[in-house]
Amino acid sequence: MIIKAKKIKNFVLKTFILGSVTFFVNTSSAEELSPLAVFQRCYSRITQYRVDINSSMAKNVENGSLDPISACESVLKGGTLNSSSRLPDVNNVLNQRVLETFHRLHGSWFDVKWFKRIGVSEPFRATKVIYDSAEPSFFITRALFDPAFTYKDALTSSSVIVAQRSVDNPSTMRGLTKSDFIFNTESQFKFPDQGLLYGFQTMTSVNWKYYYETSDDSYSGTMPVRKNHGGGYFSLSVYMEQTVSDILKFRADGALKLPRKWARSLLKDVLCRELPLVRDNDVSSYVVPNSSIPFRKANTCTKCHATMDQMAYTARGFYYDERANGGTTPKYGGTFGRIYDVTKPAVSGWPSEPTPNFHLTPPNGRLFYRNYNGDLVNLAVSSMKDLSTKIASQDDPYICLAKRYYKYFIGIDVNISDPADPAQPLNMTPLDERHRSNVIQIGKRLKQHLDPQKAIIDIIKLPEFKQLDQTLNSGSSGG
Amino acid sequence: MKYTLFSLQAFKFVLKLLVLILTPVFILFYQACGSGFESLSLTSTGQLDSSDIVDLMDPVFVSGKVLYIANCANCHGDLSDSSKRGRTALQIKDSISSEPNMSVLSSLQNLTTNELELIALALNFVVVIKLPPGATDLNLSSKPALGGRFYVASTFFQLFYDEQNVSSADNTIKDIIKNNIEVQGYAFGGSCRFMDINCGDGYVESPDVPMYSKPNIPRSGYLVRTCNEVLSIDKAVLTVLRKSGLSVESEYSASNVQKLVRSFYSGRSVSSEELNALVLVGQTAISKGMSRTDGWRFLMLPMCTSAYFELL
Repeated sequence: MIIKAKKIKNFVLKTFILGSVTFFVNTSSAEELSPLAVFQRCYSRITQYRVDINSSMAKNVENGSLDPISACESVLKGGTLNSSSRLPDVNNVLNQRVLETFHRLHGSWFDVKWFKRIGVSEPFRATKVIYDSAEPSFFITRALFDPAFTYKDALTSSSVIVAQRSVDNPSTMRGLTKSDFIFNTESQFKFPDQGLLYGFQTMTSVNWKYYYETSDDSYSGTMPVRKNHGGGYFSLSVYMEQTVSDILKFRADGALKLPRKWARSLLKDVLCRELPLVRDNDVSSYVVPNSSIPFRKANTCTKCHATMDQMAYTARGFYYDERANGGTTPKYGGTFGRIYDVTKPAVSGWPSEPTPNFHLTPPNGRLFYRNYNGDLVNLAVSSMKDLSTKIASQDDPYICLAKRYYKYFIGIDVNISDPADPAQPLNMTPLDERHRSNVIQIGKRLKQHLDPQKAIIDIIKLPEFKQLDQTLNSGSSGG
Repeated sequence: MKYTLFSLQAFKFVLKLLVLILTPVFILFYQACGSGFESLSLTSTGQLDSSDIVDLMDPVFVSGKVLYIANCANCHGDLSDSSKRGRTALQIKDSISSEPNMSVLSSLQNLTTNELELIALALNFVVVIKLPPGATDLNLSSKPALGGRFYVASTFFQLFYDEQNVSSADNTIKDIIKNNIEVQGYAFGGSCRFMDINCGDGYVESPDVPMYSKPNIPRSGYLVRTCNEVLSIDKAVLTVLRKSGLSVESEYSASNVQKLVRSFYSGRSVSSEELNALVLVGQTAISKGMSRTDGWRFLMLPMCTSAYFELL
């Protein structure tokens, strides 16, 4: 039954103009939510759904027979995967929602979430359907729900993780079939699963055979389609393809040309930090006033490049390899991220001029930044794998994860930058400092137990989570 | 006449509603809607020197901001948190000629005095948004956590959709929720990736959609629209009452309205004044000769459009 617009309009306008109903945002600061509201708050974040207040769990929370935090913990643990890294019962809607929610949350954290078109359109179209663009985030989701895979594994594992989803091994993908691809004679060639997430599968790096013809020749070989070039999700071929974001003919020269966007994304994604990450006096030895490279002439620019360029040195061999870029049979190949073999002697330090064949030299680099505490981290690294290990040995990636969950559950984006950089003072209020302290403590504990579920429970146990006004009156800061 | 938001009359009505009800949300949106706004200082008192105050849409300010982005942002960061906030045109000019890494950039050498002054203006701005009289002076540096599209849609379904006795009215309710909430990822948040596919019918996935959105005007518009459209259906009103342990014949009393509050806000409490105000809405409807269903309908409308409904 439909009612008339005029009736609603007149009545509601009078209601609001007369102010008989107030706007329901109460800003009283210290009031705590009821147990049911606390449960509703964490349930909504864990499932992206509203709790059914007539459910037995909600009623038990409301009548006091069940603690809301225990109820939340129980819902969160519903996403736990079995020894096959899969939901024990994929038809359990609540547990599937839990897994799906964190899959989406973790995917939303990444600086770059999609592929840049590198060459012509056919390989670009192919790349989008050969890879699941969310693959890097699977490492974090698996660390949250797979008891056999810790967050340290997410930072250091050399494996490739693919999703198990509701549409297993689809025969077509966005209008393309397997026979449209140059990999159609490869027995392991498959499109990524699609649909609801059920779990994960670990893969060793996979080389796919390819074969295609042009009007005057034929081409064959293998392509390392799914590859982890070092350790952690940031060494995945798919992560590097998304973040290096350079031209097809890109080759690192050690000075101007480097995969530095990859390093910049890594710093954001893994450490939650933005450049510059060192202080003025940290880079004075790197400044070369007569360099032909503009950003090496003075402190200001060198500050950013000293961190990201030396980190990018570990990925110096990266290049894009494109197959079937038009007029071929089959039509589709793809664009793939590869690493050159090392064939030239090592280059020492951080040269201020381009180095011939730099992309063929050993991938020595440096982890160089001020950590959350203001201490200078200045470690030589010999490869992407070594970089991942040394990153995982710091507190910062764990504090970063805590910061991200804190933002999701408490609503406060805590600044975890160097607290004593005179060029970038934090100017924190006492409230900001309290939130920062919470995040650092939770992150440090995470580094010990390596279980992100415990970090989440630590957060929802905080008094801040139960406050009525948690996201209305609390201060927030970037970073 | 069927009530539709696409009619001019209804459009005007929604605009008035937006102004009357959603001003605080609008202000929060203003604070939160982009990189240039987030760290600005805001005050309701206007105690700053008026010469510091710049309208964000002022073309002079915009020109300065554009010049800053083109010439300075790469090294000095976003305008709102630039490491060079407060610099004068003269200081900028000196730096361009004396700093080695700036003096080599020909684009900086070519900046005119007028352009340097525009950049300096942009580096010295302060924004003041005056709150409307009577509005709550919220701490506007905060960002309320609002439910994403899946959460908001589930809230509407839980309240208004009668899963036990699905009728054509329920199918209409389902369509309203789907069209206004479930597929509106950009307004409500609720990220979805290329391979997820099952993200709400008709939803075109985009990796740019955030997990949850900040307050924004389209979101508020969709929410008000959904409340209006769903509550214009009698079955929806009756379903909420039934799920709350009430019926259309139930008394308009504080205790009964409290049952509705429990359904709408899942354990959050409202003040006795607010409860009484809602009771008064129902009673006033009856005194104006409206039906009991209309009384409950009008009582539910402000509950549905209030911030509590979407606040996590």
